[in-house]
Amino acid sequence: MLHLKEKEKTKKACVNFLAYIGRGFLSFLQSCGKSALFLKKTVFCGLTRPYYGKQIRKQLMEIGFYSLPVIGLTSIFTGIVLALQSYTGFSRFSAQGALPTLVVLCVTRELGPVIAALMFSGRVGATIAAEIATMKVTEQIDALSTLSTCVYRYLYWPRILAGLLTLPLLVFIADVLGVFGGFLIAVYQLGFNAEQYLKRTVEFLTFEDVSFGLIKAAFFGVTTALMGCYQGANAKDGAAGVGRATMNAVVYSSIAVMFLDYLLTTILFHK
Amino acid sequence: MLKIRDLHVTLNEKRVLSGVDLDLQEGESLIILGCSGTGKSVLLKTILGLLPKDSGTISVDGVDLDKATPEEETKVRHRMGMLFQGSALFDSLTLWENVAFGLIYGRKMPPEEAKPLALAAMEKVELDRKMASLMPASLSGGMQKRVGLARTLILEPRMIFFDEPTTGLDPITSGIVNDLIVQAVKGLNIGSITITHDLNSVHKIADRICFLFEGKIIWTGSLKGLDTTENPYMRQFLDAKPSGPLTENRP
Repeated sequence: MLHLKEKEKTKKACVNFLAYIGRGFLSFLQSCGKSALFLKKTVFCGLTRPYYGKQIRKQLMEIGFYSLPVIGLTSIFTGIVLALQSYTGFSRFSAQGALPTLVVLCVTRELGPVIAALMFSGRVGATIAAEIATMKVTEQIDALSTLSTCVYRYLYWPRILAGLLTLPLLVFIADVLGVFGGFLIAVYQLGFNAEQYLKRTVEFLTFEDVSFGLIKAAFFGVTTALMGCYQGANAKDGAAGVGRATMNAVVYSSIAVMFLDYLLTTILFHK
Repeated sequence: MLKIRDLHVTLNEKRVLSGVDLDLQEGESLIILGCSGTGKSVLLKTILGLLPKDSGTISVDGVDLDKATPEEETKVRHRMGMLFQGSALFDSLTLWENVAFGLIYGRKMPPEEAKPLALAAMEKVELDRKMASLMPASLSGGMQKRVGLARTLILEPRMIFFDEPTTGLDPITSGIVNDLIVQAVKGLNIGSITITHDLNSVHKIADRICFLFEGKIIWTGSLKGLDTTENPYMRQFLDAKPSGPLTENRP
């Protein structure tokens, strides 16, 4: 009798656990659908008049230009560490000569876009979410609507457009700086010949290696800005809500970047 | 001017308004009283289209907003203004940019034309022109309310909603804000709905008063009627008694 009760209890706990996972998954799918509709409405409003050029220029500066130092620094160090670690690995089977090719391919195809996007989501995603969430909980977004201004056109579109346009540019700069970091360490610490290193760097590099990385960056830029706007726009419950929206924006955009990276790598590089 | 019939609103699966009927005439100052959490702000935001309704009709000058074309609806919405509880000034813009916002972004007026109008609107609410370049964070609550009022009045609405305009202000500043509301509403013949818990404000600005409880208007009357009412709900509210029908029947 006792054994049966115990069994029933275990069964119930399993069902509850599965229900918990199911609820979470359904809620995730619901959020994806709502974000997609949010993006659709933003793009539709953004492409129709009136255009808020001043807002777009301001966001290009805030989101793009001011992200350059953090992304640039991260990229240089990524290139340096990549060169150092690869050199250790390659020297074990006397393949040090492949170092320049490995650094440039890793940086342009993968590390440049992904590391820049993760830094971007930390800096830009958090800023956008916190700013918009604060506007939401202090009724500034409601005030915009009462002043005959489309919130999607005025607030969200400039940020999403800036994400789309600036992250590919930032990633291009990150690619150059990452390769430069690898070059510095290879020439000044690992004893490579500078001319030979540069020759090997460009020798096996194709146009697709760079351009596909930039295409990935465009997707990452939109996703990060979208998550910031969406989470901010749905914030509630005062200061705690602003904190939650900011955290969600960073977490969800980072996860989305990793997932999109897998998806786009499969589609672009493994055709 | 404004006619609301059988308005039902549900938020987060909770019924907030359940069958509100309300009329507002041109130049009339209507006050909505009620305990906290009874749906007063929800009512204003639903009229403004900021929150969705479940059912019921909202008509402005005979135009049912559900049946109006997008152009008609925009035209109607342009005639409405709102002063928010926390003023809701845009903290990244200066005071004059806040006041001129609706002209520049809503009505596409060039900033150089909008600025003199914004400065004049600031003067109307007794704010010095020299303050035009300050940021909202550097102002007191009362001054922020005045900037909010100037931002609303500059668009020349025919209907204004005030959400607790004197909450958090000292009695003198409250008096100034109340005077400005009376000047705006009576001087410009604007219809207004004010939500407040401040009975001094009620006596200063009300033409008619409604009491909202459990999502319904349970009492309507004049200022004279407010002072003499024997309605047990109203009496508990006006006499600020902790026990009575309002607290007993509270969900």
